[in-house]
Amino acid sequence: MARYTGKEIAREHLLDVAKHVVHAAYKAPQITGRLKLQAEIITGEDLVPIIEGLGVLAKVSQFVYWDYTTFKDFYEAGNPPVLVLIGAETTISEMNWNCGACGFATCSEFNRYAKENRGTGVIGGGPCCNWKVFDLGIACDWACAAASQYNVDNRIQGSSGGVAATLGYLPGCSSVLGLPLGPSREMVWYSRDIMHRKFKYEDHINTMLASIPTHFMAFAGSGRPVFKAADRWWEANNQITWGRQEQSEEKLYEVIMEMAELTAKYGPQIEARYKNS
Amino acid sequence: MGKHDDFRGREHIHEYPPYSPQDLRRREGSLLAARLMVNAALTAPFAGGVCQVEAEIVYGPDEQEELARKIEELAYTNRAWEEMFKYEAVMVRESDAVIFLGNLLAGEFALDAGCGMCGGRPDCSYFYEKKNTKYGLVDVTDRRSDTLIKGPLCSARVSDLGFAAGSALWMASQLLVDARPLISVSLAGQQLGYCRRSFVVAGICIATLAKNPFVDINPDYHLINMTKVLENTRKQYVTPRTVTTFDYRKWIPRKSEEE
Repeated sequence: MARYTGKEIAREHLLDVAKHVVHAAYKAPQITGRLKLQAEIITGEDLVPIIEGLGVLAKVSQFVYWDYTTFKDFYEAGNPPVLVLIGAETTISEMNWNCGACGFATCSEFNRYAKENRGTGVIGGGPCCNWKVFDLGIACDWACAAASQYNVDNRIQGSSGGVAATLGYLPGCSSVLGLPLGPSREMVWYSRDIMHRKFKYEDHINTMLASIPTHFMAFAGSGRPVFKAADRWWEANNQITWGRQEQSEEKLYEVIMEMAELTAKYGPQIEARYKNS
Repeated sequence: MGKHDDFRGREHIHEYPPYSPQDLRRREGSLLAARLMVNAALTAPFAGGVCQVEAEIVYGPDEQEELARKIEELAYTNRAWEEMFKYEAVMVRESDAVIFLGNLLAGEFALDAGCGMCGGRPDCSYFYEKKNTKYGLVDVTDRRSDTLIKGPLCSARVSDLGFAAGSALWMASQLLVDARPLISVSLAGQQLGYCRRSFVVAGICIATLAKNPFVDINPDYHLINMTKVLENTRKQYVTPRTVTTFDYRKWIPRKSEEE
């Protein structure tokens, strides 16, 4: 006979669910039938480098800040999520479908261009064959659906996946997405109460004001419509201006350098694991 | 009499013969599944939670024949497709229904997040440089294209279409309905104008037959398949009857020992 504490057994169960999730990703139907999928499960203290990387990116991206804080706070509270990484090499097409979706007339022209112009963006590498990306989407969706079947809170992320890929996880994958599972409680990745009091009322409203400006514009007949950013907006007379923001460009450069430092710190030990396995 | 006093009935359901009343009842069930699959597709995770997927469900012998013929037409335009597309045209004819999912944004409204997937750059320049644009707005009115899909597309949007298809396929799997995404169906469907406003379309065939019509395919499937075998039987069987004829009312041939 044995007794199990609910909290502990639920936390252990997340790893079992992660296994189901990984299995579902591999089992997902494909339109190309040629996607080379990779997956990995990250738990416990192995989350630390990824959390640190999210912390760096959080300085220039609010949506990364949300994910960073959620990961960090649950980790520090001793109740971390389990992170599933799902990735694939999507920058080559062996199909010869010549469909044109990539912008080239033939797959061989695309492959030649992709080989010479390989690079990365905020989330993944490219240029990509869109049908390979499509298949990776199906696989990631099956991963989410599998977690959902087990009533485990989850959210597919470019943030954690991108950071993990930068640090060297899933070598050989051009695109990596992260899928945190749990922790076991009602709301984790949606309506996040862990974010309570992290932003002031003004921060929330400013985000909305800055993101959907046309919703806050006054009559446009003047040619220079007033931006309704205050209760007595007709007195404030705010107008939108645009231009380069040197300050944010400098900050972006700082973040890139910091990420490079982090990769130098953790990269070798992450790389070593793939050599041993 | 109350409206429920008469609530009774019998529904015979069987897959054979095709399009018989009993088969049509079966197909009604497949259609319900198709609708649930579409609903599932619409709830899939999308980048930024943005609505961007439209769907169309296509069924019926005429519609499926038209789609199959378009696939057979495409088969001869690309050596890589010929065999595969001819086989998949058979699958389209044998399906109960075809679901099309289209992405409404992929060719016009990119995610604009610099994700890197379309061109391997940390910005969206690969997409915009190949489009006719003004102030970041894509002029899509010139729809001429030498390729079936007018690229480039925003790969983040295509990824989201993958998520939509994934949820539809997951729903099919939960309902034990056989379903398969097929490139032939996707491209032919877009050519025929299904999901007309979309820049890229994914086609999923579904069926609820004893044998999943999308797997365990034999070689030369376009020549040797259930329909062709039955058609050959219909073609062959009557002829020998007319050769060895007799008047069954007066005499029926017996094995020699019985005479």
